[in-house]
Amino acid sequence: MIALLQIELIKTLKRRAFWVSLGLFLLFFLPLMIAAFGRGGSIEINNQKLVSIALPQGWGLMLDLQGLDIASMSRLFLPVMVCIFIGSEFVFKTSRQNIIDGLSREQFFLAKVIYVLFMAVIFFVLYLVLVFTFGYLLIDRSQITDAIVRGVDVQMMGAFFVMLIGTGLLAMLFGIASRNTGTAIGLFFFYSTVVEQIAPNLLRLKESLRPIAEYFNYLPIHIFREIVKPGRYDTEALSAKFAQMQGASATPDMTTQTVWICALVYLVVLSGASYLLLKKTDL
Amino acid sequence: MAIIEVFNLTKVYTNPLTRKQKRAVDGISFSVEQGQIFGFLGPNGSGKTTTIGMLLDIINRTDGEIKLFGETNLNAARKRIGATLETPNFYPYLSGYDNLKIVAKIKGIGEERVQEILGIVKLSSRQKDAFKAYSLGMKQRLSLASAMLSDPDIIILDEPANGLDPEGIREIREIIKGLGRQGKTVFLSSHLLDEVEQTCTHVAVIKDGKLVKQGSVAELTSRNIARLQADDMDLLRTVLRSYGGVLSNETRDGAVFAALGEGTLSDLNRYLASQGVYVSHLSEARQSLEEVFLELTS
Ligand SMILES: Nc1ncnc2c1ncn2[C@@H]1O[C@H](COP(=O)(O)OP(=O)(O)OP(=O)(O)O)[C@@H](O)[C@H]1O
Ligand SMILES: [Mg+2]
Repeated sequence: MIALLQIELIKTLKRRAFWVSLGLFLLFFLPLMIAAFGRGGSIEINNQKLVSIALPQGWGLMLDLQGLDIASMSRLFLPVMVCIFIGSEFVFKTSRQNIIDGLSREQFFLAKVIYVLFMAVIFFVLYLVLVFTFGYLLIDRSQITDAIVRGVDVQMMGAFFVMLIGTGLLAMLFGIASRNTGTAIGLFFFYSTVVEQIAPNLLRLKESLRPIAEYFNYLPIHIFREIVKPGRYDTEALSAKFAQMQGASATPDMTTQTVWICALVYLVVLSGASYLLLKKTDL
Repeated sequence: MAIIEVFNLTKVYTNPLTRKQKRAVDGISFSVEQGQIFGFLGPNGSGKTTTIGMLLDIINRTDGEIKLFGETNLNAARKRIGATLETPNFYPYLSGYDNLKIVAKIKGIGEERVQEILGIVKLSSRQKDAFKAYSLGMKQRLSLASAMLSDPDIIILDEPANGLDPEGIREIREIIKGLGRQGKTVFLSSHLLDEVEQTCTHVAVIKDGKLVKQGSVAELTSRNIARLQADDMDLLRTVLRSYGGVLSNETRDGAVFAALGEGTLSDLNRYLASQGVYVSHLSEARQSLEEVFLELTS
């Protein structure tokens, strides 16, 4: 277990793609947050002024900013990094060599899961550090009413972490199935846009097909997007403010319980599918 | 003691789209004793890599049984084996040293050994360079180093001399012979027949997924071959064909080479004389492994 983690660390930390991706991620969020900081913490999107990123609201705000938030960006960056790393194990044929050198297929699979967890932790820590650094400095000390981290924030963080693992596991499945970095990334984005978004939208155009489209809400990426919606957790404070935002769904249509159950089931199903694929195919 | 045992091993590849099937390995059985240097020979596409892949559990077998160290649990056995398959497979952006460090972690051995083995394959001076910056020969050496890293009991090499210069081939030969002297078991596939003849103690020949021959190198190359010349070569060939003790014959360099079954040269001579053929030359000819190979596989 420890050895597997050490191996994944050697491979990841010495790879330029890892640092470049993290750099790009920070390059996106640092200016955004510094700008918000300069304005006393408020974030504007489409010329609409939103709540301040000051803690504790900042925890939720940075998870739902109409695509410009940390959750949405992580759903872009993390799968790409997972596809690159896991796809390349097959391109380099190191998947073969690792087994030849003595890993069992189970251990090889476990190593990939460890890698996904590691990436999830990285993005989780980035989120914590970014939001905490800027959010803490912006706290209005004259009117501290809340704790810096409330119970609902912890729930949101948990949901964010599950989302990170889930999207990572989905990317892992594409990586193992396609055995190629480029194909894995292509498949992932084809799936997440065409299958999960465009297809149900087309179905909704026709009245008779609308009920079928609703089933698409239960597909993994949709579930992982739903699970991090802050409106689910911080109902009083956030939903009112988020309602101002055009298109933001402050009142989600799926119950939080359903979303959590679906998400946890997907964690199991996605890992199980990857495991079976690895077990059954020639390397 | 048989250290590698293979029984009725079979691999059928199925094309996922056309469902067309290809029997790459077709019910082969063989065993390798401890301390043998076992050459696994066969033309391109005959199933060598597929067989080795199954030994290492990289390729799932369709049928058959494999025992390594007398055990069917290949996961446990693989830790005691060092192997390469087809091409050197390493992380291109990592240095040679880091790549071996990963292998050491998988094998559960200390990092000190990495330095030592890099010296043995003469890569110490380039150990900090990225694998992708290595020449083909250096990649092969790193591959060999990773196979020998844990000082394993069995070393399995798929065409280890591929891409090496004569000097490199000689070094590999010395390394393999050295392993043999230490009592290690080496299983290697190769196309370089004179290399195999010089290094291996035993060979098996595979063709179209089937084993066509196996035995010690001495056995295979010391087949009873007679080199004959006579005034009337046509008559000689005709009479040879009528003799039950001759398995095959071919004409080369102005002489007829006849492969004999059980009989001796005197038996053959007596028969020829009785048929009115008096030879001007009759001698025993040793066959090189290459000749045996070509005869078996063409
Ligand atoms: N993944 C695969 N899918 C389908 N057929 C395959 C696959 N791998 C190998 N084959 C076929 O199996 C046969 C044996 O291939 P293999 O690679 O084992 O040969 P080889 O003896 O190692 O050849 P070479 O000397 O060229 O390395 C070939 O006909 C090859 O085309
Ligand atoms: Mg081969």
